[in-house]
Amino acid sequence: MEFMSTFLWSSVIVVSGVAALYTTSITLNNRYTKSKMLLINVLFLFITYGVLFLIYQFNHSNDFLGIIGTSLIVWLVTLHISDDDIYVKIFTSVMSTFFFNMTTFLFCNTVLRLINTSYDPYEHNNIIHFLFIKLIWSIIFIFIYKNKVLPVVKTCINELKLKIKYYIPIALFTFFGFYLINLLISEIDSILTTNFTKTLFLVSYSILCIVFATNYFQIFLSIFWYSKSMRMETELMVASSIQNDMLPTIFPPFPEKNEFDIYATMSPAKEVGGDFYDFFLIDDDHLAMVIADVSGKGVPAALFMVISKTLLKNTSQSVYSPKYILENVNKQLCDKNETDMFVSVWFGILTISTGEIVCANAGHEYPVIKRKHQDYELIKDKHGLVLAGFETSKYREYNIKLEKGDKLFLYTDGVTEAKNSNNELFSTNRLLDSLNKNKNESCKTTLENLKIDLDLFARNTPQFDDITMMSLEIK
Amino acid sequence: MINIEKKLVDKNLIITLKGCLDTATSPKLDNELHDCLHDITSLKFDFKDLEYISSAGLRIILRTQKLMNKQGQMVICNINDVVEEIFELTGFIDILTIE
Repeated sequence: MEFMSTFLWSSVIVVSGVAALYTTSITLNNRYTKSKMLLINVLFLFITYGVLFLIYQFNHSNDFLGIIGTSLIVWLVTLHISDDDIYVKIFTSVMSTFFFNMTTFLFCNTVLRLINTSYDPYEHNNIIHFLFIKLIWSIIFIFIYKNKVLPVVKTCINELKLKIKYYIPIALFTFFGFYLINLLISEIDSILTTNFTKTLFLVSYSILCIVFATNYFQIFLSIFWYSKSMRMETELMVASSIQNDMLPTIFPPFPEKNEFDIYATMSPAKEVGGDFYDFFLIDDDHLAMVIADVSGKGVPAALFMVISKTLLKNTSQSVYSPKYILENVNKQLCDKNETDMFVSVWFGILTISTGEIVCANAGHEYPVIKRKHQDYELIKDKHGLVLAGFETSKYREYNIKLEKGDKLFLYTDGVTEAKNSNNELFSTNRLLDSLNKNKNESCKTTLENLKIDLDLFARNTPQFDDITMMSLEIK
Repeated sequence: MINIEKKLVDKNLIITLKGCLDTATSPKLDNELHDCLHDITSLKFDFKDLEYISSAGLRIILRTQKLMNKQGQMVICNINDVVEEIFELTGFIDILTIE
């Protein structure tokens, strides 16, 4: 090859190298400052140029050393310039060299061959065309990559971290696989002799490239969405633990009070739920108890649950009337309730010294009472409308007097409406049966055994609704 | 599954529901109602074949009742025992007109 051709052909290869190195350096976290990076790029340019020039001076079609050698230098420089994990560096550099070396050669070769069937890539004019196409291709790609693709790639790399090593084989196979196809295209004239087979080859080859590109795009899109959903899941887990922390979960909650025993559990159907229970001392002699169920499930219900729980607790500071508390909270919840969510609440205030409970029911399930030496039975109390339904809702109070040994059990419809595989409901009948089997047990054991009964009943059906239970015993 | 049948006479709309109104089926009713409630002054729900209603269904009933309070009246008829108990339990019975 004459001097000018060698010079031009080396330029073609160097353009790919510089573009590949630039792409890796904007993708990875650089160890050096911008000016130092520029210096490294310039050094790279000259050294590679020199090496390539020598290679092609000796053997004018030694593209194996030319292309693979340039790529190798890019890989080595990448390993050096970046602080990222080694697998990330390998993956990024192999992919970028693949892109700029392989695809540009394949693209240019294919396009030029389609234009001119007796095409010789090393002919002087052809190299100029080649260089021109390659420059435009590289600039367009870098522009698109920098503005559109880079954020996605960075997210993928961040999310995948060490897992990226499983993707390195894909990158290497792609690189060397397409190198082989590249060789095939260079030899196309000697292998395929008729114009028809040549066209057939080029067409099927183009289809292969499109399929490959689409697949690659799909792989990365899936990784991207996977990582996004992983993050959502992590956030849901955090939300779930925040929600758990909102409920009193340390038992016994008031070790200094031995006049009563209280126990409660909440198991949401999804990560976060709309059910909640609460109990707190309003003063030394008054215990407030709440059990509630927000309509719907998941995040919307959980947000509504947080508002409802906070309002109920805040409103009941130094107020001893469930009627007043429910009516007040109802008004606040109705204000700007565009989604028409609502919450059913049973609210009771126990006077610890007398065992008297003042309660009110806003559309919640019937409470269950057990008198000493008797069975558990429903209290068919008067129900008001659920909270957040209508602003003007009124609630009625009623009293329950608990003696020593009496128990009160509260629950949400997740218990009574748990379904089995025959689509039957657990129902209040089964609830009472299960409670009565354990009527002499402590609050904690009763609830645990009831949960076992529920799980046995709904054995093969997934839990559909949040399940919440609370039990109180006067000692 | 839910089957929604609509009968419109003048500005009176009768909606007959058949099946279960729960989380899965409520959006369907919600969409149907959204399209056909403007100008209606009398809405009647026939719950003869409605087996069950969940809180998602109650939410739509509540929303529709609020809307109809502004533009006319809403009546629910032929409710079965299960649905009646749910209306009682949730206090909906106080705000709905049930025949």
